[in-house]
Amino acid sequence: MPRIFGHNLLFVLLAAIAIYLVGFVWYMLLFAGAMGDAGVGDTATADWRMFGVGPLTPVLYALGLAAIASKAGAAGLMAYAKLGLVCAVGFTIATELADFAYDARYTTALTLVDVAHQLVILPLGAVILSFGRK
Amino acid sequence: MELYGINILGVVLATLGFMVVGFIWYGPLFGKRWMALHGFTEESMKGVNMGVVMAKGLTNSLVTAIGIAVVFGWRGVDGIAPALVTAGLLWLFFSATTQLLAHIYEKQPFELTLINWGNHLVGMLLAGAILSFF
Repeated sequence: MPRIFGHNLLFVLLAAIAIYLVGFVWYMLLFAGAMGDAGVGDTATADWRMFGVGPLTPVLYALGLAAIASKAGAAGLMAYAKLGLVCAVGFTIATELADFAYDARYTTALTLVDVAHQLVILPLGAVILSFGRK
Repeated sequence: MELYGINILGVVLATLGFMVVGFIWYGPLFGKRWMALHGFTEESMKGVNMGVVMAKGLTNSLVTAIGIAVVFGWRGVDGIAPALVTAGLLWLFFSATTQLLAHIYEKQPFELTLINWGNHLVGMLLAGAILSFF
């Protein structure tokens, strides 16, 4: 199997699929009304962006985690989980916080749902990637 | 002065740099367009508590600066060129990807996404450049 950023491509894809599935369960089942309640977006109305560009985002997250883990020399499940956590807090959650700061539509409730989502997906993706390092 | 291997002065200066970029970006450069895309008016902005907004913005900038500093430590970044490359990759894989989610699932106008992308890219590159000196 080809490797990318020092990781087995299969595990990069598995991490991306897991991130995508968690997002689906999170926003379509667990917190289905979160965005609607806040008055942002419309996940019920599918368009080309959701199916054409949507699957690209978990792939980018997985590739980013692989790139950082590779250069950082991460080894072992816990090191990967920590890496995922730092990337979540330092970058994706920080970006969510910018929306919370400057866009009044991002309520505290919606921001908490988004932040919790990021706290789950990046450590999960990183842990899956840890099995593809060797 | 360092805390857990992170240079405090570097993080403070990087945070300030990130905030200054945001101030210029959403002020003189793209402020009017940003307000129009959000549907804000001078009148509606009068009711906004700018102290709260600034505190939230400070949190976002500080968390990002700490995240960049941690990753720089992991990757052993030394010099401005590797710092810019690393900060650029962190923006692409995590910050830009998270902002893309708002365009895909929350139907944020693409022009607004472009403005936000630009702010975070320039802010993270500047923060990375500042941190490379510490």
